[in-house]
Amino acid sequence: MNSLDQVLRETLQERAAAIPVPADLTSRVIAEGRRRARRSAVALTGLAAVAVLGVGITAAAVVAGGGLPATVSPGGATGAPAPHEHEPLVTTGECAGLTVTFGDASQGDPANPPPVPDDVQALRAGDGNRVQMARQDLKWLRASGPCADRLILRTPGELVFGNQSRFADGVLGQADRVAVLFTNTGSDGTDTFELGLWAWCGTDSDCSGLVPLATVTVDVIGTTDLPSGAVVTSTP
Amino acid sequence: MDASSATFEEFVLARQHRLLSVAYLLTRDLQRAEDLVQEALVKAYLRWDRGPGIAQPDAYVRRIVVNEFISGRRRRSASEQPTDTADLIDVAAPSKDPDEQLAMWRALGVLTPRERAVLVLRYYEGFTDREIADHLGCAEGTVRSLATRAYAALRAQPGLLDRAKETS
Repeated sequence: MNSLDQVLRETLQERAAAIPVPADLTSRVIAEGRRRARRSAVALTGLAAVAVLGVGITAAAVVAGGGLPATVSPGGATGAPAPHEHEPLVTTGECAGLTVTFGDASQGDPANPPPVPDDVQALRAGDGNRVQMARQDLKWLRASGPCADRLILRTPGELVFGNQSRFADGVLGQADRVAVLFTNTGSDGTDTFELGLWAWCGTDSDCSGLVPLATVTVDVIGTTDLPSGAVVTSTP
Repeated sequence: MDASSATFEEFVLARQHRLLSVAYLLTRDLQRAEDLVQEALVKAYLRWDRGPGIAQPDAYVRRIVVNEFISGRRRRSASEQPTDTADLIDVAAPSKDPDEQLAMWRALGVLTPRERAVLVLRYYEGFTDREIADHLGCAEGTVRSLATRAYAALRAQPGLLDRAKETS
């Protein structure tokens, strides 16, 4: 060991040894943790209410129109389930098995999610994903598996927005996390959102170390008389 | 207090000094160190009794502390200047050689957050490059590169005494 190493080690050890520990750290942490847990529960109740409202609007449209409105699909696309449905977004490394699904508001009640919704499909790595939303639409992104707590949502464009950069913790339990994607536009258009992993990124961090996993093109088409369920993933 | 809270409390009591030490050596500011550790522990608390829980809570919390420090520094200002100890909440440290260690402590302040994190994890925690890479979310080669740059920066500091720059 050279002298630089030795002085460095001694300096760090002696500085650390002199640190006082606050007597109330444990109680402060537990109090703050309980406060956040309560706040999270209230927020989730609100999100669930929004989802239920979306279901109600759809039901009203069905009653008034005598049936479900036709699904509007982009050219050449299809709303049929793809063969790679629910395949993981990540297939190798420490995050192998991380799966992200994309679904309607009608599937989005976080308090009681269906185990495998029929009209929810998995997003895949790369830029080959293409999905459709109405102009005033709301959909859920659900992450499960390893590294779900490191998943970041980016919505850099002007048509599609996320409720947060991080997938919400504790929504569906330890392994499942949910983010909400919504549109709020008066005209049709095309936008994108990105999913990526960051080593660790706090809720208010800039996440500039994000490694993108998937870029998803969103076709914003039509008015909001549906959650359509038209999730389209292009072929590789 | 329920059983899960008691277990979490035991964990905090057992590990708080070590975690605070790492945070302080990174931030060089006691108040910021406490904030970092408290935030990391709150996140651990929220996961403590859910699902399978946290397999390695010590590593989990330490990893949050390190990465929040790095990302927080990046967020605050890309043009932030290295600071002396004057504007930080410092702790007095007994020392075998006060001048030498004070010079080293100040020299550590010129390092980038990632460089400092590498040295703290290597020389205080005794981690291997692989373990440091796991904490920082980077490759082992990146760790070695950061360490090399950190050594060069330390050796370039005029305040660091000659003995500390010698190699045996």
